[in-house]
This record gives sequence, C-alpha cells and structure tokens, in this order.
Amino acid sequence: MKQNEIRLNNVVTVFKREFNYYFNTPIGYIFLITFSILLNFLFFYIARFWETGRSIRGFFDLLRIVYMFFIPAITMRLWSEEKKSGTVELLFTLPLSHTEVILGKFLSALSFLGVALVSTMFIPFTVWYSASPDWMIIFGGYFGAFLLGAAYIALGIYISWLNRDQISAFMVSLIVFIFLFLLGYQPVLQFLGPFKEIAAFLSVSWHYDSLARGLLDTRDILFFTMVSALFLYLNLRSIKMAR
Amino acid sequence: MIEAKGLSKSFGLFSAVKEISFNINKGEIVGLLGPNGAGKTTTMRMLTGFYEPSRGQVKIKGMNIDDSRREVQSLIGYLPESASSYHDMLVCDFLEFIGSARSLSDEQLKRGVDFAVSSTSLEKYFTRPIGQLSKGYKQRVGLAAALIHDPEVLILDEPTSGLDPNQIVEIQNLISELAKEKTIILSTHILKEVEETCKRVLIIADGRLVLDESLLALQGRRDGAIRLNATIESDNDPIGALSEKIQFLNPGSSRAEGRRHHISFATDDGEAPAKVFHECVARGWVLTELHREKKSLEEVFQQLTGVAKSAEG
Repeated sequence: MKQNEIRLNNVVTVFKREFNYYFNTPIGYIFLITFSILLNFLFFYIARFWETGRSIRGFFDLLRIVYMFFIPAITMRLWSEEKKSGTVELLFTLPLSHTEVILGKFLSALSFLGVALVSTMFIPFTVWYSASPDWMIIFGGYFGAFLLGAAYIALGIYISWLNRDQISAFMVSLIVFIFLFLLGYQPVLQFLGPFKEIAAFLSVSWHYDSLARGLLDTRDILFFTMVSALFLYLNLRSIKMAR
Repeated sequence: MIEAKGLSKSFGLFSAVKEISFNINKGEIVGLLGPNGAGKTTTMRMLTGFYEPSRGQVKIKGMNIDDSRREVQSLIGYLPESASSYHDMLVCDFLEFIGSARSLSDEQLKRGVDFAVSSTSLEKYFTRPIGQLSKGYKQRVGLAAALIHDPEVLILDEPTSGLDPNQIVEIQNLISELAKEKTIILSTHILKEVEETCKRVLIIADGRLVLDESLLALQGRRDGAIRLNATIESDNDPIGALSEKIQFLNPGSSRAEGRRHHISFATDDGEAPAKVFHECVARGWVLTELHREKKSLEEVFQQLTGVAKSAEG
C-alpha cells in the first residue's frame, strides 16, 4: 500500500475533532457573535451605509479588515496548542498521515469560516431590501471572501505550527496579514516604484478586489488556490523537518 | 517483534540517543530505565514513529517504520509521557475519535471501548470531560486509548507517573495482565516497578544503552555482591583491619559510638561474614550485630548510570 495515499475517512476524523472543538467550548460561539456584531457595526455605523450610496461594496472591503483579526483567532490554536500541551505526539503516533491531519485541520477552520460567512447574510439582505444590489456582486464577493479566507487560513495554520503559543501565533498572523494587505495599497505601491507590479501581484487584496467587484477571473481563483496549497505544503514540509 | 538497530537521534548539536540497538521478542515485557534526560522518551518516540531516527532504524514485526509508518503505527498502542488526551473532549468522544483514527469498524470500536474502559475502570467517568478528571484518571484515559485497538505492541512512557500508590498497583496489575499476550515496553524511573512487572531491563544513561539483561540474570549478578553491616565493640576502628582480610567494593563506612563501631561495606566475597566473625574472635572484639543486605536494583542502576556519567565527564 502506498505510504502517501490520502484516506478521506482519516481527513474526516481529524476534521470532525477540530470542527467540534469550536462548538464543544464557548469559544466558537464567542467568535461567531463577535464577528457578526463587529461587521454589522462597521458596515452600518462606521461605513455609514444609510447615508452613503447604500452599496454592498463597502461590506466586502470591511470583511477583509475584519478577517485580519478573525482568521488568526480561528487558526491560532490549531497547532500551537497541540505542541504546547503535547497532544501532537498522540496525533502523530496514530496511523494518520501528516497530510491527512493538515487537511482535516484546514477544512475544519474553512468550514467554521463558512458558518461565520453565512451568519453575515443579514447584511446583503438588508441591502437587497433597501436598495437594488447586483446579485452577481454579492455572489462574487462571498466567493472571493471564501477564497481569501482559505488562503489566510492556510497561512494562519502554518504560522500556528511555527509558534508554541496561541497568542504569539495570533500576533504573528495579524502582522503578516496587515503586511499582505498593505502590499496592495495604492500609496505603498507608488512608493515601491518598479517593484509595484510584483508587489501588486503578490498582494492578496489586489486579487480580492477584482473578485469583490463581481469579476470571476480564473487567474484570481487560481491565485488563492495556489497560495492555500503553498502554505499547506510548507506546513507539511516543516512537520517532516521537525521529526 | 521490535528491532532497533544503531538508533541515534540528534537535535542540532545535542545527541540525545547514541547508537542504541536491541531486539525484543514477541510476548516479552521490558522495562526501560534511566535517569531523567537519559533518552528514554526520545527512544520511545523513535519506536512509535513520532521522531525519525537521525541514524539507524526501527523494525516492528519485520516492517521498517520509515517505509510503512501507517501499518506499524496500527500495531502499536502508545501512551505518551505528557498529555495523552484532548482535555476539551468527553471520555467517550475521545475514545471514539481514537477508534475512528485507527479505522476500526463499529463492531471493533464497541468491543475495544468496552474492553479499554472496563480494564481501566473508567465506567463512571465515561461521559465526563477529560479536563475535569484527576491526573490519575487522565492517565487511565490515555491508557484506554492505547488499548482500544487491541494492539500487539504496547509502548508506555511512564505509565504510573503522578498516580497514588493504590492506582500504581492497579495499573501494574493491568500491565501484568496485558503482558500475557502482548509485547510491552515501559519506561519508568521507579525501579520497584520494573522488578514487579518486567522480565527484562534496558538501562539507558546519557543516550547510550548501558545494560540489556533479563531480571533473573540481574538478580544473579546482584547475589554476587552483598552489603555487610556489622556492629563491633573494640578499642580501635575495626574497618582498617577488616579491609586487609576482605576485598571491599567500596571504601566502606564506619561510625563510632564510644567503643561501639557501626561499619558497613560492599563486597563480592561470599565468605565475608565468616571472615568478619573470625577476625573478631582473633582480636578479642565483641561482635554484637552482623547482617547482609542484597544489592538492590537501585545499586546496579546507580553504579551503571553513575559510571556512564563519570566516563562522559
């Protein structure tokens, strides 16, 4: 039998354990409520939805900012806690491959993000009720948000692997996400001069912007998929190195 | 069943385990002894596939662990030294998770859980969160998880650490019961535990294997060496005169209480008690007390691990 074969039921086993963690403890509910309240507050109050153009556009911009805090919060413990408490030893002496474990963890965080995104549906419905939005933009925006989330989660889990402590994993992820965000910010791009093309291409927000405008470009979809795969792969590499 | 060949593990410049080789046959129960930091846990982590050896290899049931990690890990039940369970889970959910990670069928899972729970007496705590259990019960949960798939090989890293004396006896009885049909390696620094449960001892000191012997042979080795304690009434300290007649293994000690001298020394001379007696008669001393002590496993342990340490320094 092949050693590198990925068994779906093993991925599901890890997935269930991790996904249930969010709901076994109050932590998942706290995250969801905070995420939802924060987004609504920012969208309706800070971004002044009622006074400005009543557009959905601002929602996806805000989502990107809330992500910088929310994603590290859901990924910070995925490895660091296992390493700190020592359960990583239990996990890696079960007949599960490292890939199966990483995928299970990744998919659990991604599904939790999915639940969080569904809980924000109130906002597009409000927009739909009070204005006439382009459903393509809403659909594209959610799709882009999900892909961006996947890339951030893969990166966040990798950072969690590199840190023994949840809080440091959170902080490092936050800093990295802010950096990636700024990479696509116009004034920063101006400053970078000749490198601005590369910076913009690498910038997560640049790809996100076009998806959030409702443009489903395969290049952007591919970009996020590749970024996710890259960090999951790097994670796998460093697990093997640590053995 | 378990074959370790030239097993070494380094972390950067520090080498934790150096060239350890041993063979453990099916059905054997082996105690892995050593001072803290000697490399016991690192060795066990290589046997279970958690660490990859820097050099050397591990074969379990003829399979190389690097090539067939999944199959090998399916054969092993492992109780790690530190946290061996997820504290946020209920005991039942945790055992189910382990069962499903081991791809057990519903039937196997049910049988495994029943067996593991009853042999570790966890029935009362089955639906409790693991985090709320006492240390002893957390340890039992870890042990139950290691037993759930009826493994051929059990690797237990300090199975009784942190338990109270009653719990220690219970776990030891369980291990002895399991030893009837499984191959077991357990590490501990409680020497009495090895004497009670194991048939063979491996002692590791500073990352090297310094002893690999059956407990029986070890007892034979210990019978050779004895410690004599004597109380002698005399004018002068008798220890000097005795050391001329008897070959001491250590400098010996002497404590005086007026004319009374309490002396103690180790020797491998079987005639030593008689020689002490004759010496007393010849010199006109009064021998008020004389008894021999068997050398304990502790002394073998101290001797071996102490020697290794001074050789290293």
